[in-house]
Amino acid sequence: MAEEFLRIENVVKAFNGNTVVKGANLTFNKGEFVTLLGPSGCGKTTILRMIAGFERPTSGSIVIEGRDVTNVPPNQRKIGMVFQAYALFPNMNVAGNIGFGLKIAGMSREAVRARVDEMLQLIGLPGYGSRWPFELSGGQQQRVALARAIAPSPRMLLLDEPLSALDAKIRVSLREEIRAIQRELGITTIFVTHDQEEALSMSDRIVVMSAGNVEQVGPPFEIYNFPKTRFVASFVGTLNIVNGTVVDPASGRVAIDGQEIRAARGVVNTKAGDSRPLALRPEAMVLNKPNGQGNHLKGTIEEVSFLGAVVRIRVRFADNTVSIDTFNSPNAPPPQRGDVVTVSFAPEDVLMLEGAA
Amino acid sequence: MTRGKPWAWLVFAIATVYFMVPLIATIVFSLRIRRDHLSLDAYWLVLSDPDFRATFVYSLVVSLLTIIVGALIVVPAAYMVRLRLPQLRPLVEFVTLLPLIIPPLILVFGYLRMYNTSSWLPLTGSTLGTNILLILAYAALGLPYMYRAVDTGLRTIDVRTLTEAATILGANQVTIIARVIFPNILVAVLSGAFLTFAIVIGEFTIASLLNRPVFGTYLQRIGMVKSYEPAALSVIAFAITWAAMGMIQLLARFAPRTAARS
Repeated sequence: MAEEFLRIENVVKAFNGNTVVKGANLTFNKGEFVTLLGPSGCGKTTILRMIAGFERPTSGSIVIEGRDVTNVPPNQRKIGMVFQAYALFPNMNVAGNIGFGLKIAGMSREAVRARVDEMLQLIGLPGYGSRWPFELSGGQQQRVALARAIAPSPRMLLLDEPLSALDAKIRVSLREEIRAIQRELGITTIFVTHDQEEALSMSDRIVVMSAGNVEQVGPPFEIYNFPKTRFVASFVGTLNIVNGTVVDPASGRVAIDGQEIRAARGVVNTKAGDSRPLALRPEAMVLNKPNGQGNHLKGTIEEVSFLGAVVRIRVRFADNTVSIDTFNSPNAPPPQRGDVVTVSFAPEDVLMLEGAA
Repeated sequence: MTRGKPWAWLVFAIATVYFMVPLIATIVFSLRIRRDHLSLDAYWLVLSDPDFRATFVYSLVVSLLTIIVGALIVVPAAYMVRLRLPQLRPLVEFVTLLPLIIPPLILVFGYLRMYNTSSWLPLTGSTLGTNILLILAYAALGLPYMYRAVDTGLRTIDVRTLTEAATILGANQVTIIARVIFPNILVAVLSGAFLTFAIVIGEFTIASLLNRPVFGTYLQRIGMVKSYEPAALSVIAFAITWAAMGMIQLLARFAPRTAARS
C-alpha cells in the first residue's frame, strides 16, 4: 500500500469573505506526482500556497509526514518550489541561485560547489554556473529554478504553473524533463496547471478543481475516460455534453432529442423520466455506419472544420449538437453542410454524468 | 523640422542663459583675485584653509552616516509597505513628503524643543548627542528622495515572488532583505544616496541652529568676511553637487539591465 505523505483536511480559505477553497480533503502519497488542474480562480494555486506556507488556511489543517504544519512558517517546511515567473535572483549568477538554499542551510563552500555542479548536470546545463539569469532563455531559466528548488533535497516539490510562460515546443520538452527528474529523485511533487494536456501527460493522479471545490480525483486514464461531473467532462478533453432523458434504467435506454440509445453504465441510480447530462467523446463516434452494433442517431451536418490531420464535424440532432473527429483522408472528402448523416457509437462510450441536465 | 522646434530652441537658449550666466559670472569672479590676470589663487586659499578641510570632512562623514541611517530606515520600510502593508502606502508617502513641506527652520526648532537638555532625551546636552540629532535630522530631510528612489527600485523587481522564492529556500526576513532585495535595488539606493549627499553637503539652517561645524556654515562665515573665496567655494559646492547628479545619471544606465534580469 502506498505510504501517505501529505494530507489536507477540511481546508477552507477565504479572502475578505470570498471563499476560494471550500473544504478540500486530499491525500498525497510519497513519491507521487499529483496535478491540481482547473481554470483560473478555481483555488488550485491557493492550495499549493497553503502547502508551501505562504497562505494560512481559514480553517482545516495540513499534515506532512504525520506532523501538522498548518502554522509552521514556509522557511521551516523543507519544501522546494518553482514559480511561474521563474523568480531567479537577478543579482546572482546561475551557481549563486542554485547554491542559495544550500548556503542558507550552512553547507560548506566545497559542498555547495559540488552540489551545484551535480544539479547543473541533472538539468542538462553543465558549465552554465557563471551565466547570469538574463543571459538564459525562458526554458533554461525555469530549469535553473527547478535545480535551485531541488538542490537542498527538499522532502517535497511544488510547481506553480512552471511551463505557462514558455512557448509550446519548450513546454512539451520541459514537461518530459521535469517528469524524468521527478522519477529519478522519487520526490513527492504537486504540479499546478490549467492545461489539461500537461496534467494528463505528466501525472500519477489528477485533482480536478472548479470554483473552490474538488470535482474529481483519479489517474489520468480515469479522469479522461470516466469523468464524474459535467465540469470534469467539459474541462478535460473536448467532450460533447448532450441532454438525455432516461427511458428505462433496467436496460440502460436513454432518449436524446426523441431518438433512443443505450448507455452501458451510470443509469442504475436513475428512474424513468430523469433528465441527465450525457458525455460523448468526439473520437468515439463515427459517421454513416448505420449497420453496425451499438447506437445510431440521425442528424444534420451543421459545420465542418478542417484542422489538418483531423476533420471536426458538428452534427445537430434537434436541440443537441455533437462534434465528431475523423481523420483526414485525401480519398474521402468530408461531408457537406446540410447533409443528413447517421452518428454511431458504442453503449460503452456513453457516459452518464452526475447532476441534473 | 517641426514647427514648434525653433520655439523649443529659443526656450532652451533663454533657460541656458538664465542658469549659466550667474554660474559663469561666479566662476570668472572666483578667478579674479589678482587684478592683472586670472588665477586659481582663491581656490588654493580655500583648499589650504584648515577650517575648510575640517568642515568639509565633517560634512562628508555626516552625509555618509545620514545615507546609512536613511537606507537602514527606508529600505526595510519601503519593502514592508510594498510586500505586506500596501494599504499604508498613501500614508507612508505623505509622511515621507513632510520634510519637503515643513521648512528646516521649523523642523530644527521642533527638534530643539523635543531633545533639549531639560527634555526626556537630552541629545543637545553633548557633542555626540547633537551630532546624532544632526544625522537624524538630515535623514528626515533626505527621506522624500531616499524613499522615492528605493520605492522606484522596488517597482522594477518582483518583490513578492523573489521574497517567496528565498523564503521557501529557508531564508529569514533579514537575509532576504540583505541578500536578495538590497542588492537588486542597489542602483536605486545609490541614487537616493547621492541626492541625500547633495542636500546634506550644502545644508546650513539645521547645522547652524544646532551649532555644528558643517561645510554650509563655513561657506556662510567666509561669505561674510571675504570676497573671492566665497565664489570659489560656491563653484566647488556646485561641482560636488553636479558630480553627485552625474553619478545618479551614470547609475541610471545600469538600472534597465538590472530590471531586465528579473
